[in-house]
Amino acid sequence: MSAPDKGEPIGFAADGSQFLTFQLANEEYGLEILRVQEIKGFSKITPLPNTPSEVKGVMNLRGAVVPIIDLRTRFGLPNSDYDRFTVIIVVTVGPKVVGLVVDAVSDVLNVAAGEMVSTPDLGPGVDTSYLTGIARSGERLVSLLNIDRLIGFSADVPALTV
Amino acid sequence: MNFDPRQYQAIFCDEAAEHVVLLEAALLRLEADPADGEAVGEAFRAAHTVKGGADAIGFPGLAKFTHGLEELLGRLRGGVAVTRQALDLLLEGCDCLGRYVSACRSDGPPPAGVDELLARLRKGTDGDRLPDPPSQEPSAAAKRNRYTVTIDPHTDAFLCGLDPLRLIREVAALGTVGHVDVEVSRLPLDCMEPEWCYLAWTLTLDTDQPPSVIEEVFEFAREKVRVTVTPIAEEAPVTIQPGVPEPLAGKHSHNGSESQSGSPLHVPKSLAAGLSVNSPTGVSVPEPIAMAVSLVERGTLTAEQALDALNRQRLARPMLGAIAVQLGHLSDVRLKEILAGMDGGQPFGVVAMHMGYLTEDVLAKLFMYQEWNTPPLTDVLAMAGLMSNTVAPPPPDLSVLDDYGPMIGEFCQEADEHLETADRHLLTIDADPTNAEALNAVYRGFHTIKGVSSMLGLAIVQTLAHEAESLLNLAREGTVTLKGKPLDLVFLSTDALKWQIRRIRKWAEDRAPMDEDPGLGILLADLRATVAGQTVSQQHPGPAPSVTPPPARAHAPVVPSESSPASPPPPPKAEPVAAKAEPPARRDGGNTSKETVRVDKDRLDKLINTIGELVIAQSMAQQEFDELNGGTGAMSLALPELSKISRDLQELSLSLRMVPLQGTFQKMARLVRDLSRKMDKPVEFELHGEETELDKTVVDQLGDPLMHMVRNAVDHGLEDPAERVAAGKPAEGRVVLKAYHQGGSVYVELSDDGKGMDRERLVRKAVEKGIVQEGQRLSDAEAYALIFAPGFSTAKAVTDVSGRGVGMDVVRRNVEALQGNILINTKLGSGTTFTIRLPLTLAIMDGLMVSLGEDVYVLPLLSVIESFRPRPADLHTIAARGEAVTVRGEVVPLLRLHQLLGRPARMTDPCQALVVLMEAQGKKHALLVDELLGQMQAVVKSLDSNYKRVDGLAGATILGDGRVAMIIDIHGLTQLHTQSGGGVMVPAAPDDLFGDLA
Repeated sequence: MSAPDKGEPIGFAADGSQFLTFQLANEEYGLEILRVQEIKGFSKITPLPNTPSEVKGVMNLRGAVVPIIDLRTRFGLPNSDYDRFTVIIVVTVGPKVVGLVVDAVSDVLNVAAGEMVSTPDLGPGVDTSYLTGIARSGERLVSLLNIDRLIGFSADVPALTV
Repeated sequence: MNFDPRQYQAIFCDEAAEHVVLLEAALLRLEADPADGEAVGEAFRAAHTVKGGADAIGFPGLAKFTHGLEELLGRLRGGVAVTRQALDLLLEGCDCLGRYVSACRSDGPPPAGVDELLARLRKGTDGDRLPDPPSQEPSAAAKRNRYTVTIDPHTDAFLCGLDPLRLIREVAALGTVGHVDVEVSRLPLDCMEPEWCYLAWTLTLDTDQPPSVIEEVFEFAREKVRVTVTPIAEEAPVTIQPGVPEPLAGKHSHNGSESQSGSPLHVPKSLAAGLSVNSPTGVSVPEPIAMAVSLVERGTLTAEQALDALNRQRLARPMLGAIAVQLGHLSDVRLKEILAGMDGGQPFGVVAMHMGYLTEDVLAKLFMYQEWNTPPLTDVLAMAGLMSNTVAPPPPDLSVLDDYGPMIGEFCQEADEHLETADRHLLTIDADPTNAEALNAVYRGFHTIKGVSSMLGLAIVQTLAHEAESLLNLAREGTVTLKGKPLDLVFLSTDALKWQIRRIRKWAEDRAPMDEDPGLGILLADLRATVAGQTVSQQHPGPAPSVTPPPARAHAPVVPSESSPASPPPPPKAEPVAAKAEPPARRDGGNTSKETVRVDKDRLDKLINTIGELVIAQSMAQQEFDELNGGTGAMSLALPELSKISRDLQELSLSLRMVPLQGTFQKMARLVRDLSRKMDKPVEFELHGEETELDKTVVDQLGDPLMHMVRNAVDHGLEDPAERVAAGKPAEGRVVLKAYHQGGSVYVELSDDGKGMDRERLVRKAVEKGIVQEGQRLSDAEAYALIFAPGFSTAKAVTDVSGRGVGMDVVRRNVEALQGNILINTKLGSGTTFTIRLPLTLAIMDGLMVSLGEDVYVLPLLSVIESFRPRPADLHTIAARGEAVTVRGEVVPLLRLHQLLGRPARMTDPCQALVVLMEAQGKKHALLVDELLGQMQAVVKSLDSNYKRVDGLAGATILGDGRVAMIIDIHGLTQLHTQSGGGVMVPAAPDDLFGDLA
């Protein structure tokens, strides 16, 4: 298995960290770049029976059987068809490797400590515990994801659907 | 440079566990044949190794306990009869040792009862010892008698392997030896054969034993040794010369057998020539000189060096006159007179005889004595650093290799580890010479090496380790500070030891002659000098007989060698040829040491996985190539080659996980023994095919079911002895456990010659328990399979051995978890045979590919019975929901795979699709699939590694085209079926996605 790409060519922000941003519907999200192992184009997925709907199935990642989770379904966004821009971001969650289906990958965002704001209270309908915070980048607002919470490291996985 | 012994603890624990198994095996062999000396030796070695390792690695408690065990074994090795009690105690100790080792592995507290058991072991040791004749019991002074014992071996005693020294030691063990007198009158002065024994001994012995006991010592060698035992009065004056200490006897014997340089060949004819080395007028040349000459001729030494060595030797030689005075043959006055008479350049002996002060006999005796106390030329040379191989004993001969071949490899490996550890510690010491802990660690390393090498007869290593250990011991006592020269010496010793280990390894591998370490002699001499310089202030090689008998010399007789010490090549050269010509088969038989590398299991798994990926990638490449060249008929040369190599690689990778069944079988042997004693049923237990290899996971998990089966066989299968005799069978029951390969599977068979199973009774019992319905027709196989039903037991009484009805249920579950199945073959009155069929490995599974809609699923082939397309008449619905299909009159529930998995199928009408009949846990199910695609060898990938277990799926595998296919878990599927009431599965709640990740 290849070593995670540590994003070497791009320098680290002095006192912040780097995030890989991606699109889901019209929303923009960020993933801590050190958790990203690789980005793959959408490829053949074998469905996994008797599993929640966001688990699209499993994929052969150089011999490892990796589950694929559709983040649209996970966030309760309307499903869209997979096309040539659809990508799978392979991330590490503890010892496990998981693929996340997103609409498209945008870029790598340097977020200085000052640019990050904590998630505001969005009312009772929205659980924000899977967000580490929100970063402002020019005009854009990027929700930074806490992948461990999202994929379920905590004992009580929050209900994400509104 | 901090050394953490913990990293070695795991390795040690693995090794110790292996040794415990060996120990147990040896003990069981010993039980079968109490006279099996080899088994005792093996058990002793196992215990000894564990002890040494435990001590070195930092488990003092374990070392202490093992020591107790080892002591008792040592007694047995020493010839004490092997009793039942002793064996029981040892086996108990062995069990406890196993527990102790696992406790050490997990850093847990020592198992309960260790101290108590250790006390009993010790008591067993001492208890046995008490009736034995203790050697130094001064209490019974009243009963003590004094005897004169004369020991007069036949001249060819040595040739028969009889060593008088041993006899003398044995006699000495009976009491206290007063004086030893050597009778040299038979020494022929002109034509002495170095291999003959010309000497006789007279010793006085104080003992409380009757004369008969003393004579018993010589019982086995009656015709070769003349022995007289004469009681003498307490006050009888001792007529023998005073001052000859007992070790003399030992030295003498060495000289006799060694015939190296000290043999008094040059006494003959002209005493004058022999008595004085510096008068070259003698007819026969003294041996040291001959040796020096030969060395010069070989170019080993220069003439100056040889002369120098001879001079040194002469200086080291005690003066004849001094000896004579010491032994009481001359008075001071007479000595002076003789010395005065030597003015004319006449040698001492000649003058003394001339003056009539000494007789020729006495002179000869004096001369012998002088010889024994002269360091051999080889030692002198070594001291001067001119020669090495003479100090070191000759290389161990090949018999050592034959005896200990496999152990030598292990020893080398261990020694390497110890030396590495020692090196690390020495560096710590270099920085901080007062670091006692590091020092102790180094000491322990050397000590262990010494112990094991002496056990294996590797004399050079032993000597070297011993010398280094002596130095370290001084450092431990604080006499020497380990810095500067002493520290360098210890470093050099580790290097030299490494050199020796390499050399032994090479020698053990191809039996090639070994090159000598040129620095060895200097190092040994240096070590000795350093140690000697610290222990005793001035040690002149003078008349005092106790001075510096170098250990190397003491070891020399262990491997008697006729070769002149200066010419080591001849024996190794001659021996390997003989050995190679004679037993080549033996060499191939794995007698040579096998080197092993202990590898982390995870890494191994990773390697195997990666190779699996390679195979998949290869087949993908092939497929791609075929597609690209579709129809053009292009051929690739490289692809088939790649295919072959990757397949070979995969085969190899799978064999890495294979281990023999031996350990598991051994446990069964032990179990049978315990059971047979507990239940008073004599059982003859036979093992076959322990060397059969299986995947380690399978072997590990086989232990449990096998244990239940063996219990059942002994408890239920075999009748009581009385019953057996009544039935015309031998009273001793027979249980056979065997393993063999057949057609890609491994079979493990357990058979007993007991009463067999009573079909009628089984069925009756099953009806009673409501497992089957009254009047239900059962095939033989089904009836016998009833014993696997949970809670089923035909035992009349629940004993602590078996009868609760859990056992066989567990057996079947475990075997099926291993993707195996189990068969019963029984005949009422003559016994039962259980046959377990197991896959070679769990990593690869024979699968049947089936298609369902767009998807491919894999069914474990082992569970597949048949597949067929049912006719409409065969289909039934029960209560409008449950579906069933009739197969040859048998009604089997029909499971629609697509429904259970919630996936679309191309065909839903069973009469258009296919039904696969499967069996799991004794129940049959019909599985509806679209079509069969073929058979495959599936590399099983678990879903939990990146996700979690999914009900109804046993795992996933990767198809030739790189796609993932799910492997169906039949048992899980039937449970899904039961839960859903035969209907559609409700998907799991979205919340427990990755539920087990935490």
